[in-house]
Amino acid sequence: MNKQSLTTNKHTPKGIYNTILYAYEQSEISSKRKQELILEYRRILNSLVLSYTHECSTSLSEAKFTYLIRSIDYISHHAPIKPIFKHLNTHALQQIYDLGILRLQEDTKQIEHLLYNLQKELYTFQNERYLDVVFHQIPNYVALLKNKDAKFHFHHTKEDLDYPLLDGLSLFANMYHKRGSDFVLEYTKRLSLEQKFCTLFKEEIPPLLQQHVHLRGINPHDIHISLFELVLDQWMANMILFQEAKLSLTKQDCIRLKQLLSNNTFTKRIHDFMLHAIKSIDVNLVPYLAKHKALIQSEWHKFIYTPYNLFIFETTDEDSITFHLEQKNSDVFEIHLATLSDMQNLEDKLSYIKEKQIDIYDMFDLLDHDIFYDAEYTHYFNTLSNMEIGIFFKLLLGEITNLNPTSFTTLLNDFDPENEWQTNFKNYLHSTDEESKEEIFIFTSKLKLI
Amino acid sequence: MNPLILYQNTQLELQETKNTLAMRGISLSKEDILSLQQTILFICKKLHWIETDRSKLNQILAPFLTSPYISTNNYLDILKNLIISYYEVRSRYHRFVEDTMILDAMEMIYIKRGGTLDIHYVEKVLHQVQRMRGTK
Repeated sequence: MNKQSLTTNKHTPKGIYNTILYAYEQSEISSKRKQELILEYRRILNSLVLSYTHECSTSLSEAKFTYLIRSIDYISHHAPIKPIFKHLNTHALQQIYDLGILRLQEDTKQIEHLLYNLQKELYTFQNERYLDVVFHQIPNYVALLKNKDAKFHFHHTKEDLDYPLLDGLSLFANMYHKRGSDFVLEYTKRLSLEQKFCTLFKEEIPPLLQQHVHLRGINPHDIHISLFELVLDQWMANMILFQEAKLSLTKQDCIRLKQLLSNNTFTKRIHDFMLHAIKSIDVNLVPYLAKHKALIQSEWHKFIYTPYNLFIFETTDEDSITFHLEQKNSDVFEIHLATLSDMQNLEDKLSYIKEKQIDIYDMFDLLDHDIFYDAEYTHYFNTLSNMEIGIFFKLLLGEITNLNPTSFTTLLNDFDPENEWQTNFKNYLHSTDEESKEEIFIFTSKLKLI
Repeated sequence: MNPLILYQNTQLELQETKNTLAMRGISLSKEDILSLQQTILFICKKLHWIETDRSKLNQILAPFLTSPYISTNNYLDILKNLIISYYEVRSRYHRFVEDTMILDAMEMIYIKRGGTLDIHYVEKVLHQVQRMRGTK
């Protein structure tokens, strides 16, 4: 077999079976030893199959069999003897496998320890995803790693840990090029580091989150948001403006910061400055932030040179518009639907809707029930004010952060393409003139729906 | 890695299988055994299935070798059909259904239907396994 196909690089053959072949090719083991190891490998694999089927069967699907092979490979490659192919004369595969298990049990303890501290130092952030990760997702995985079938779970996590860290969500659990327990350990380490920093601002976080609700009209508890990213940027802005480790900003502060940064070369060194400043808070954060230089620079760059709203600041009444949306009696909906469905004339439909002052949720349901056809949609949308259009937009895409003219256009693609009225609404928004578009955008940015 | 590489039978294993089956009263040649082993490989490949027990042939066929419905004229086809039926049923159940339960069900239906191995056989075995699991 070709050497290249056995190895990912010079010293790490892919999988234990290939490691045996590679060791033979490299003359590390004799032909006889190769045969012995292959027999042993098969024995371990067979016992794993029996264990997996609870001794019920000696056969299983190819997919499950591959899953078990991956499990053996993952465990064995965690044995603290490197590179493995050089130790195949002195170590039995079972020995390597057992050493791998021991090492993974230590990792499990480390995850558990980090998790204990995370739960103990829980900050006042009731974000659904965060709480789920800390109280369900990681603990459930740790429980799997501690039961008698742990060997089947070390290399695999059933789901992603879906609270975003500084660099976003760990989609498909391969964000750090790690999987299984390695991925969870890395994630938990990073989360601990982030949480430790945020805990320094324990008192300031609740008012900051409240300001987030006022400014962006969305409760950060309900969305995929990285609290660390939010706190880090607020802290950094304060360090630049006031040389103070605090989070609160005013709108004027943000304007001043933008002017200050756009007028000098400091922008290019923002990341260096951040590393330098954070050293005095937690030295462990330096390498962590160093990894994310491009991301941090790009966010700040966007803030300085585009209308991108990076910060949370105290809002005054003129910065936001609040709407109280009420849901009226649901029985009325059936009457509206029956009446509108019977109407053939568009003018009658539009007058009925206007006259009955149908609430927004019923209106959405009515639109879902196809009360209009083709061009009728455009006529209906034309009867709405830009403010009403903004409410539609906000309700359809509730979780909008950092709304800006570019994201406004991109967000239109998030409408359900299978839904006829949403597609018509999207087309309507696309065809709207620039002036109205801007008005809708400004209104939507300020809009807060309760 | 192709997992099947790990489960190819050696000459010694073929001889052992031959001896075991011979003791059951039917004489199979080495070619017959090889052909039956090939049937396992064929059906497993078709079903994306892996058999890790290289002596499974004995276990699958042993209950049928003393059957009065097997004669020197038809034995190889019947044995091959039984192997195929076993894996077709096996692959339809999850890992906690015992191999032995499937083989018991196969034997029961085989006898009950007078050695008929038609298109309904697998279906009947599936029902029988279902019934046995219900009463367990």
